[in-house]
Amino acid sequence: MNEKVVFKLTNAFKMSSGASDWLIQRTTAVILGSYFLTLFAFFLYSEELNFAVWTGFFNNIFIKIFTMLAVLSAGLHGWIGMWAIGGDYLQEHHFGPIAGPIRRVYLGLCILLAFAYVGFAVLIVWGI
Amino acid sequence: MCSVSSEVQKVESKVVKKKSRPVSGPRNIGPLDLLTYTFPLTAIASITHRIAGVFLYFSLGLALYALHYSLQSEEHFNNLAGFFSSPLGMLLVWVILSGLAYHFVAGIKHLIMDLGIGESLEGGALLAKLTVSVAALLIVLAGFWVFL
Repeated sequence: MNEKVVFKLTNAFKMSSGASDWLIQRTTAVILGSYFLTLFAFFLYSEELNFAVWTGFFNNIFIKIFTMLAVLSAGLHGWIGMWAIGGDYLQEHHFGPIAGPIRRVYLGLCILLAFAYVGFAVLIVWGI
Repeated sequence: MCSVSSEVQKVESKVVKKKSRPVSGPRNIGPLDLLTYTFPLTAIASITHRIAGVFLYFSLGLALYALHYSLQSEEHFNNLAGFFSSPLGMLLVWVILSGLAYHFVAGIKHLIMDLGIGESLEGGALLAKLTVSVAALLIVLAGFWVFL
């Protein structure tokens, strides 16, 4: 591994916030990517997709855990991404003095959505 | 994160003019000059990654609702399957798959660049071209998969 990667990883484990965000973003990205490839493979290889096959798939304990992990990852990944975007575009030079309140409302909605997704996923995955 | 987003801003704010600037004469620009200003492909690839990300963040709610609905009963499942074989349903699936495909490919570009590959100006431009091409191919393939 090259020096920069080692430097980033070292900082990430020291939990400096930028570096840990970077590490979380990459880790959750890999989890999400693997999850969607798994779903894609399921759609591609299941010969007949009916209710029994579908519920059978989501009743599999590994898929349940993987789904929870993916939604948790999506919440974290989305939060970090939305935070970065809000910080870049919801700025005083675009919105003037109300930029601060706008950003806080926006960030509040983003985090609320992340928690709602995870809560909803718990109900879906463990409710069947 | 701070350094990453400031890099993104730097790339996005670097506007390149296609037409070469006149050597003499007035330097003022008019509204029509807007037509000749374009973002470099690297900036377009970057902002598209962000737009796709925001879009996917909101689509997740829809996807979770669809999953919840489909697992209710066989009737619910068949209703949803019916909707997804209607033109509107297929279009929705294709648009979301397209966002997912683009964000996925552009994310892999990030992982490659994290390894220190393609960090030069030329390398970045080449990777941006590759990202857009591979994503376009996947989006077309997703179209065949969904509509045919």
